[in-house]
Amino acid sequence: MSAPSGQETLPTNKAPKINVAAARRRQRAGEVWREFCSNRSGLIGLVVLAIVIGLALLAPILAPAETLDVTRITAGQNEPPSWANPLGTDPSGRSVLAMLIWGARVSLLVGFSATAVSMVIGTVVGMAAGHFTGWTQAALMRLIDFFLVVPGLVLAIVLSSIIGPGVTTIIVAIGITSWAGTARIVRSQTLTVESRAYIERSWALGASNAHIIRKHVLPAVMPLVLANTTLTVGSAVIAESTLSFLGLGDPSSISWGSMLKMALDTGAATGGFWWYVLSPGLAIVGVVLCFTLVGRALESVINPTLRGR
Amino acid sequence: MPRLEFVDLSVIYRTQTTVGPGELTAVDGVNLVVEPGSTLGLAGESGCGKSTLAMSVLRLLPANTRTTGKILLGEENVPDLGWGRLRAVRWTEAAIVFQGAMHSLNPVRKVRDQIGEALLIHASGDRAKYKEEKVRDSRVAELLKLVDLSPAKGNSYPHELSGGQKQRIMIAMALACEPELIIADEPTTALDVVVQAQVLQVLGDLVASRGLSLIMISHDLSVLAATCERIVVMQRGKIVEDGPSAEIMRNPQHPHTQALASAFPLIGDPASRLRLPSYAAPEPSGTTSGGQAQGHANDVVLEARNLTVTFGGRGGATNAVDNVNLSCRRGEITALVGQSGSGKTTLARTMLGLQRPTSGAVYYDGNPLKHRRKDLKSYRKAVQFVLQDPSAALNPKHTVYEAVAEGPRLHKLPGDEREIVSRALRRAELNPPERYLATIPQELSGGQRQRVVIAGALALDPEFLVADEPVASLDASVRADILALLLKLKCESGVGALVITHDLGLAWNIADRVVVMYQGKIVEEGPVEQVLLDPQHEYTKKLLSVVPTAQVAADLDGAK
Amino acid sequence: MSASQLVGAETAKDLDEPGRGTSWLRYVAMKAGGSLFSLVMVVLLGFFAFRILPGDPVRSLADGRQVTAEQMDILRKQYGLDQPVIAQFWRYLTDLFRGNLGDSYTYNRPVMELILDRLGPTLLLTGTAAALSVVLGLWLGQRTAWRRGSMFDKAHTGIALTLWSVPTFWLGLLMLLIFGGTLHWFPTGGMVTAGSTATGLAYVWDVARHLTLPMLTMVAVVYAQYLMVMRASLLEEMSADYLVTARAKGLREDQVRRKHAVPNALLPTVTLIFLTLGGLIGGAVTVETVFSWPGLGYLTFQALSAPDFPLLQGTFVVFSSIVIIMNFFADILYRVLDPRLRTA
Repeated sequence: MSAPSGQETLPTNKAPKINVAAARRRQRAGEVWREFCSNRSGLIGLVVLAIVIGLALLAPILAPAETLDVTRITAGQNEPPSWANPLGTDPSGRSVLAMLIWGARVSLLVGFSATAVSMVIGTVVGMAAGHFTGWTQAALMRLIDFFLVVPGLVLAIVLSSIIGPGVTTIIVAIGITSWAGTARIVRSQTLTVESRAYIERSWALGASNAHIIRKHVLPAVMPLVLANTTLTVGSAVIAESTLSFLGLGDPSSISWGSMLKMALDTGAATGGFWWYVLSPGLAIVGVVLCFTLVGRALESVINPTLRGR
Repeated sequence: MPRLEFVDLSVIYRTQTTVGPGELTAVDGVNLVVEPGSTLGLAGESGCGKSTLAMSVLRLLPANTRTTGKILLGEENVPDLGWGRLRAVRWTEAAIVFQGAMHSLNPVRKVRDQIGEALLIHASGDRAKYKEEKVRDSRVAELLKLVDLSPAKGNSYPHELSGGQKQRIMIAMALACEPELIIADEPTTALDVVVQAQVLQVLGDLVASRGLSLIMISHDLSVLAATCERIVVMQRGKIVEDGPSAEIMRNPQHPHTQALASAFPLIGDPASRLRLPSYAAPEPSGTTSGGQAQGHANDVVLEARNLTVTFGGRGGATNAVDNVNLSCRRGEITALVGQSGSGKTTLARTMLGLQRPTSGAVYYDGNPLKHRRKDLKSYRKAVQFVLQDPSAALNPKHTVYEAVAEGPRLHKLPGDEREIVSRALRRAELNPPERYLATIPQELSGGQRQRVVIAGALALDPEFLVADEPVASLDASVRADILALLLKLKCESGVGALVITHDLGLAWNIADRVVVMYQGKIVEEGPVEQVLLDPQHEYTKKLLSVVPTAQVAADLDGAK
Repeated sequence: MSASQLVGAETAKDLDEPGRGTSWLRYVAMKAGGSLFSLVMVVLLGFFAFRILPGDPVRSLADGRQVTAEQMDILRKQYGLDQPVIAQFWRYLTDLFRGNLGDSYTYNRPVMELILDRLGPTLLLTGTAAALSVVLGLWLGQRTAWRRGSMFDKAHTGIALTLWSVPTFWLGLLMLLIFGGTLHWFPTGGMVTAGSTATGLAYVWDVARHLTLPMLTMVAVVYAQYLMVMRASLLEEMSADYLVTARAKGLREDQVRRKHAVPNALLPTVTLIFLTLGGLIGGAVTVETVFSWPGLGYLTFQALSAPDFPLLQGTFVVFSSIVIIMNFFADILYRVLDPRLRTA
């Protein structure tokens, strides 16, 4: 209830180094890690994600590229799951499991890259909209509002149909249409931080805009951005599959979305080849769920008032 | 009429920390009897368990608490009551006037409905008539009149009412079901002194005229003394002193009571003039006394000339600061006194160059202040800022070292940074400095945090400080120590200060001169003794009428 | 696609509350100004994105087809592409004001006509889905928050989080496979049975049967978001001081929830729901595509796969304008609902 009285609890190391701050930060990181680990679903999510990322990285070893070469396929088309092909084969006789592993690469790459684009735009615009006043702020707010309100998928469709299909297109389209939510969160956090008295104190000490942003605002915003990043990767993976499904992806590269697109195009869905419809979809659901769980766990570490959500 | 008795009551909070579950004993074996029709004041600092004790009466504590012992309300033991019976007891036998009426009223419902709701819930037996809306409405109107509000105010939403009005709504609500016992939890804490006196008056009159029992909780002994017959002082969950109000005020026994009492010095009492328990100014010599310094016009270090600050635009403009002339002398403490909303904080921010004046200018050493960052830089080294709430004024992510070094780094001060930081901490009486360098603000007490803020300012070696309510958010016992530090800095290092405060006692404690501000204008100024002992302006008189003064204390003694 | 904000750190409280303390007129003017800006952005984007970005627009118009040089010239003339950009823009603007969005390449009909034809089905689908999702999401959201940590809470947040992670179109495919294909409970596509001439109640029944699967697909994904928002809002309110006051007055727990906590939690939730309307429309594109529902979303998909740029531009402008205008009304509604904003 009451603040610790200080005197008794202070560390009593006699001659601390100047880098006490760094040591402090390491200690804090350790605390965050321990708190994160106490969240069971978040930890499960993290472990599963680590496995999926590991599989994706090891794709060339686990499923050498030639196994997906249509000309060198031995298995039949649309074979149901068997010992040789645990998840069956696709309409050209390729192993669905191998495609799933390779597809993880593209899906995750798009997810992470699009999120990076989105986070950078969102953080910069959000902090600027919160920090500056007057015209800059008004203009940025309008921009945020526009991207917040405009139907993201429709805008992404427009963008990618103009640039032409491809992986880069999808990354750009998702990145540009998904940053507004982050910008809004970052802006409100920036406003919260800047209303604190320590910002006033810093001004009175003679600080510049750059100092305030670098030393006070950015460190306070980063944890939130981090938690939001993991959540956004999840939405980006879904968005990738959606855009691929609508035919805006690169037809030559395998992603979970393009697998589903092919499943629909080749009639796998109506032909009863359930393994080819189910596997990529479940992979998406699983990965997105894991990102969501990790994101929520991070959030509750950062913001203890959210505990028990 | 029920009698309230706590028998060996303990309340324990289960807490969740990073190292695992812990326990915190908020109330520790309290025995206390409140006789019917009596008024009891419960005093103590934040976290001493006084609010927990009050909440336990209606079993309103959060789920992570455990109580042992008995709470006897009449014949019944509250912890043993069934839910149905407990709900029936709530508000009909005892009602609470909550702290911070701002948050204790539902923001989206009209206050009339919120008062009426209490009547409707308990509309059975004698009160069955309140099931009818008409009867209920007339009762609400009657209750509003009781607390000096017009019944039309019932149609307001909480945000449309002032702090004092909201607190009166809370009182009206508490009286709705005619309980025998009223518990008032810091009912006036967030209010200005004048409003505070009005609310206390309303509450005191109602309690007296109806013969109710009252438990009033406050950290402010003078508030309790004004309304209660008896005062109980709590510290760390235990009762440390218990006695008649006059006795506690005049002759506190326990050291903690003495510390609480020292926070509210009697104005006019020479024992507390420029004197605090831990430090006393040396006998006045030429320059420190306000009266003699008057002649040295060239000693003015910081000055506001015809300063006006206007907020808002297009018709709704208000002058927060209205054509103010103010001068602060080198090596002197000037107290700027006013209520919240009087413009005193805006004036302080403008003096610091954090806010641009609409017209007029601030002068430092006779030169007008320019608002370009480069021009302000040398000014910032000379005039520094001490903020109101030290918990908010320190970045929770920065260590004490970083917080204190922020200023020297920004100004690229020559010399060993570590040496500068240590020296500043030592000047702010954080000894030994090494012990504090690596700590973060959360690990320090409120008083220590304020010392870190002061050290951060001193690191730039300023000659003048502007302090905005430097002790308002601190516990009473720490208040005196921080004021002593400011006084010591003035007397021993010649660091003058402009201290913004609502607290006339503070001015009496440490200031040389006092300036009274009202609605953006300065209405009275002069040496402390002159203004506080012989006020001229109506507003100053009004302020003085609601704080304890030596005059009043003498009257009390005479009456005995 | 900004759906992350729903499960994100932000509970609705973080929303700025613009307009507190300003007059009605200023508030409406401010909001109208914002919406107008967004509309102008949409109009500009609709024009420049399709005409200025890389590549010869005519080549992309004729994408993948064998077109002679003469045909290209005719096309250029037809779309006014032989004129300077400014003149083109002026024509686009004046046409737009007359409600003329150009002619569709594939249908050889005015785009506006096509869109008006398809508007009804989309409103029917998204309207019913939104209404059902709001009721279900808000109700479950407040139940889970109030019984936080219970089995009920864990089960429902678990389901919601999972559904939130499902791509809408894939869920649609599964529904189609199971209830349409395998079980034959519902028709697999369209809005009415092909060749049906039913009228009156029989027609309504036919449409309802076609509506069921696409609507349930949308509800499944959308209600989960509303549940999480409502739950977070209410959890935030649950530590509020005025709830202690209500309890002290002797209210039962369910009265405390119904009369005090929920009304407060509802206000910010409503705003967030309106903010996600854009996402709902996005869902319409995929759901309508999967179920061949003859709405704007399916039209967008058809325009995209043709590709039919005038049509795509038209659907983009109309879709966005609908969402922007609805958001404007949401802002007004919010001010009407919240007394703190209303009487300021």
